[in-house]
Amino acid sequence: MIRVSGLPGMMMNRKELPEEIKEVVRLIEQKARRARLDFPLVIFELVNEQEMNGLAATGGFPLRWSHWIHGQEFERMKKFYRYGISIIYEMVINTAPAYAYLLNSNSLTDHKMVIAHVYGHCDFFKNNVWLSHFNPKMADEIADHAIRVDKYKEEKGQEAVEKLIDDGLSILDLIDLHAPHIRRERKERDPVPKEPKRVQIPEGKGYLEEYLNPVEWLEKEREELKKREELERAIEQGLKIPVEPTRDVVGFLIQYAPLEQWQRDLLAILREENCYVAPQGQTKIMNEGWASYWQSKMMIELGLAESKEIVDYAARSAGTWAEYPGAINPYKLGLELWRDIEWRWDTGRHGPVYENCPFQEILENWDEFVVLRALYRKPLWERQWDEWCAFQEALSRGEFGFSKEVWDKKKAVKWWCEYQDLETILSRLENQKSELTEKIERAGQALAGFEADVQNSAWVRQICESDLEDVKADIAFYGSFAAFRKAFNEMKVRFKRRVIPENYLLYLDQSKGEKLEIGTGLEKMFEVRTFYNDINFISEFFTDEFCKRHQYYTYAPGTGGVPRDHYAVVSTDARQVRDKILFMLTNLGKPIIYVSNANHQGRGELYLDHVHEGMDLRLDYMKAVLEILYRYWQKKVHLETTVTQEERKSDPYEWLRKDIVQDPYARTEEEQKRILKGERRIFSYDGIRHEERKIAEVKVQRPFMT
Amino acid sequence: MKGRIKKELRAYLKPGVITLPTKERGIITIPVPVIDLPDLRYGMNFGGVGQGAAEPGQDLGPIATGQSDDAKQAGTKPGLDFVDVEITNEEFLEMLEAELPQIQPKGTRLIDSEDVKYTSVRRMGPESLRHLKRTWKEALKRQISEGSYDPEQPTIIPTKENKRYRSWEIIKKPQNNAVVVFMRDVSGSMGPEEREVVRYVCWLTGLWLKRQYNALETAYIAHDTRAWEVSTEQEFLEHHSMGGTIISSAHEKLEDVINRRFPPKDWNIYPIYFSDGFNWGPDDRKAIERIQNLLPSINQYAYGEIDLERWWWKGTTPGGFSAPGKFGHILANEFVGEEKVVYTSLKNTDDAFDAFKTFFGN
Repeated sequence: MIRVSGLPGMMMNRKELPEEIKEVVRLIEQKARRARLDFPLVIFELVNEQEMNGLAATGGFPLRWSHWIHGQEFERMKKFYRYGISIIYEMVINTAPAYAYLLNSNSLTDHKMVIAHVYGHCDFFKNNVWLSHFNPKMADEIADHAIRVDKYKEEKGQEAVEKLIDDGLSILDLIDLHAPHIRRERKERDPVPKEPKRVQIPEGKGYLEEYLNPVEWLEKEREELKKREELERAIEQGLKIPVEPTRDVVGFLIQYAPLEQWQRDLLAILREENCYVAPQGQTKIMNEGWASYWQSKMMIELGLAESKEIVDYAARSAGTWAEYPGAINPYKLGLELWRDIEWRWDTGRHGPVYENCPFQEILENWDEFVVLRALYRKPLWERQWDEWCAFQEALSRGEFGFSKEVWDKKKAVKWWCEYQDLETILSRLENQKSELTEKIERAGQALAGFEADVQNSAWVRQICESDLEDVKADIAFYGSFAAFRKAFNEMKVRFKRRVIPENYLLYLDQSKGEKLEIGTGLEKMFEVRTFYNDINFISEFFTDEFCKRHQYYTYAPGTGGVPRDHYAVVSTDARQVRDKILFMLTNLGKPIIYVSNANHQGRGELYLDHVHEGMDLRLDYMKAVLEILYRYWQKKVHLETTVTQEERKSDPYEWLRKDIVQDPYARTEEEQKRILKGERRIFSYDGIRHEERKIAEVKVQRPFMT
Repeated sequence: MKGRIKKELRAYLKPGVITLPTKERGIITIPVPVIDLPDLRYGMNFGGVGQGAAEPGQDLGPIATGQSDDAKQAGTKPGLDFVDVEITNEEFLEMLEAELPQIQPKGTRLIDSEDVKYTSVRRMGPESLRHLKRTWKEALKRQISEGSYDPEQPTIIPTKENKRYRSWEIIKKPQNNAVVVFMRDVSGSMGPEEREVVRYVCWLTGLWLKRQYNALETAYIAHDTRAWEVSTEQEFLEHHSMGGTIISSAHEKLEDVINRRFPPKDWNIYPIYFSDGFNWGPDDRKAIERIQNLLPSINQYAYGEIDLERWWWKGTTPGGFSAPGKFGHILANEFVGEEKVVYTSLKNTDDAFDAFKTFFGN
C-alpha cells in the first residue's frame, strides 16, 4: 500500500492489504471508472473490530483529541457490535486521498460490497458542490488539533480543558451551515456621509391628499425612519454588534466573548471540525443513496447480490440511525429516490407534458406515448413505430439472445433509446475491445520478456482481462439488439401492430410546443449529484407519486384511540410526509438560533433569538445551555423563543398542547389545525438564577400534523 | 469514564447493576448511563417518517426506549441508554478507598500487603511524576557543555531529553495477622429482604478483603437463641432458623472463637455483626457487657442494623436507628465517642456501600 508522506500515520501499525483484497480493489476501481464515476485516490485499510469501533468513535480520524465523549462512543459501539445491533458497515473519510476502512472479520463478498459502496461515496465527495469547500488535508488538521488540545491539557490541566470541551460540545450545533459557501468581504467604513433617508411621500393632488397620505401612516413612517436612523448610527459607531443577526453563535463567541487565547483556540478547533462534518450531514440521504445505487449496480455486474439484499445490508448498518425515533433510513430512501429519478428521466415522466396530461389512457401507457412522441412526423416514423412494437414484444419474449431474466418493463424506453443509437455503441465497444486486446498482448509480452516491472504488468493484464470480459458481455447484450434489427429488416419478426389511439394524436398536437427528452436518466442523475443537497433533493424528487408507490407515512405519539406511549400513523399524504422529512432535515434537525444583539440594554448582555418553526425547544436543556453560554459570555444571557406547549410538571417530557386556534384565513380544515397559539418569551440567566418573561402572544404554524 | 464511575460509585454499586468479576477475566462490568450533553433541541417527540402499508390512526406499537427497565414508562421519558464500562478488579478496589482500620503489627504469620515506592528515575514518564531536581541538573549539565550557561543570568531551560521522571517499584510489605469475623442473626425476624442486605454487604466486604489482603482469615458465626460457628460464607448467608434472638450468645461464641483460634496478642480482630435489632429484652445489657469486655482484645467492632422501611415504624432516633429500644439504639447510646465501635443502619441494599465505607473507609 502506498504510504502518503506527510499524513500523520493514519493507523499506527499499518499492514499491507492481503493480495486477494488488493485484487478486488483494483477490479472494482476499474468498474467504477467505466461507470464514469470520478474519484480521488482511495486508500483502503484493514482494521479489526476494536480499531473500527475506535475509528467510528472519533469520526474516522485515528488521531483525534482525547475526550471522554469519544470513550463513551467507543463503548457504545462495542456494545452494539457485541449484541449485533449494528455492524459498522463502511467508513470513509472525505480527504484527498480518501481513506476507507475494511473490517477484517468480514467475508470477501462483504469487502466487495464495501469497496463498491466506498467508490460511490468518493465520487459524491469530489463532485457535489455542497461538499466542495472541504479541506483535503483534514486528517492532518485534526491530528494537529489533537496535539494542540494535548498541549493545553498539559498547560491548563485536564479538568479545565475537558470542562471547556464539554461546554463547547453543547453549543456546537450553533454554527452557520451555509458559512463555507459565503464569501464575505469586510466593508470599509465609508468616510463620506450618506444622504439622510427621507420618507417617500407619494405626490397627490389636493383632495386626494388625505387618502394617499393618511396621518397615521405618516406617523408610522416617521417612527420607522427614526428607528432605522438610530440603528444605522449605532452600526456606524460600532455599537451594534453583530451588524446583522448571525447564526454562527460559536464563531461569534470566539470573536467577541471575553476568553483567554487557549479557550478561543479550543472553541475554534471544535467549530472547524463541526464545519467540516456538517455539510456531509446535509447530503446524507443523497450520498448514501448514491453509494448504494452504484454498489448495487456493480454488485449485479459482478454477479454477487440482488439489489434487495443490499438495501437490507445497508439498513442494518443504519442501525445507529434507526435508534432514534424520527430517523429516516438514508440508504433506503436515497436509493429509491435515485432509482426513481433514473426511471423518470429515462421515460420522460417529468415536466409539463407528463404532469398536465389529461388523458388517463396516455398516462397508463406512457412509455408507448413518449416513444411515439419522439418519432412522430419524422421520416419513416410509421415503420419505426412498428419496429418499437416488435422490439418490445421480442425482448419480453427473450428472443435474439436477449435474456428473459433481464427484461424489465421499466427499462424498455431506455433500451429503445440505446437501440436507436446501436451503431455508435457497438463501434465504441469494438474499439474498446481491440484496445484492450492489444494492451493484454503487450502486458503478456512484457511478462514473457521479463523486461518491465513484472508485478505491474501482471496487474495491468488482470484489469484489462476483466475489462475485456465486461466489454464482451456488453457486445453480447447489444448484439441481441443488432440481431433483432437484422431480423426486423428482413421482415422475420412476428408482432402485433398497435393502432395509435385518437387521444395520442390529439395530445401530441396539444403538447407540440413542449420539449421532452427520453433516455436521459443517467445524465440527470449525474447532474443532480453535482448540484443538489438533501433539502432540494427531497423537495424536488419526493413526488406525490413516489410517496404513494413506496408507501411512506408520518407517525407520532398516539392520540385519540392510541395510547400516548405508542406510535400511531398520522398521515399518508405526500405533502405531509415531505414537509416532515424537510423539517427533520432543515438545519440538520436542530432549531435555528441567531445572535441578534451583544449589547442588549446597553449593558453588554448577549441576546439570542430562536426562529420558531412550530416546534418548541426542550426547556430544561435550553436552560442548561444558557448556563453554558453564560460561562463563556460572563454577562447575562437572554434567549427569546416561542412557547406553544406547556411542560407537564409531573413529567417534564410530556407536553400539553395549548388550544388550537381557529384561523379565519385558513383555507382548509387541515390548515386550520396547523395554527397554534403561543407566547413569545425571554429566558434569561445571570449567573445565579433563571428568569422568564412573557413579551407577546403569537400564533404559529405547525410544520406538520402530529 | 473511569473518573465518572469513581465519582458516582455509590449509584453503580447496587446489586444486579454491576456484573461480578469472573476469575479468568478479572474484569468488572459496570453499565453507565450515557451522558447526554444538553443542547438546543426540540422538546417534543414528534415522531417521524415510516414506510409500509399503513392507515392513518393505526397503532404502531410501543415507543422503544433504550432499556427494558424503563419500558413501562416508555415514551414519557427520554430513552436511557447505557454503555458497559469494563474496569479491572484492581482499579475497582482502588476506587473503593478502604483499609482495615487501626491495624497493628501482631503475630508471626505475616500477611502481605503491596505498596508502591518511588525509588528510581527514568527518562520517560508522566509529567506529574517529573523529578524537578534531576531534570534541572540534566539541563544544567547540557547547558554548561553547550556553553549556553551564563552565570550572570542563570536561566535553565530543560529540553525534552533532559526531563527525568520518578519511577516506582512495587514492594511487598509484611503486613499483619488479621481476622474478620462475620456474625449474624438468623432468627425468625430476619426475613429474606434482610438476608439480601446482609448478603450484599458481606459480598462487597469479602470481595475487597480477598483482593486487598492475600492472607487473611475469615470466620462466620450465626445465632438465634444460641450461637454456632459455620465454616463457609455460603452456609453463613443461607442459614435460616425460626427461633428467637439472644444477641449475647453470638458474642459469647465470638469470645470462644477468639480465645481458641485467634489469640489477641497475635491477631488483629475485626468482628462485624448484623442484626435486625430485635433482641430478647433482658439480654440487651448482657450483650453490651460482652462487647465491652471484648473491646480491649479487638481492633474494631462493627455493627450493622438491618432496618428495612416498614409501615409500622415511624420516625427515627439520633443514632439513625428507627425504633428506640432496638439493639442499635442501645449500642449507640452506650458507646458514644468510642473509636473502636462503628455502627450503621441499613434501609435497603443501596445502603450497602455506605455501610462498607463506614466499616472500612479510610
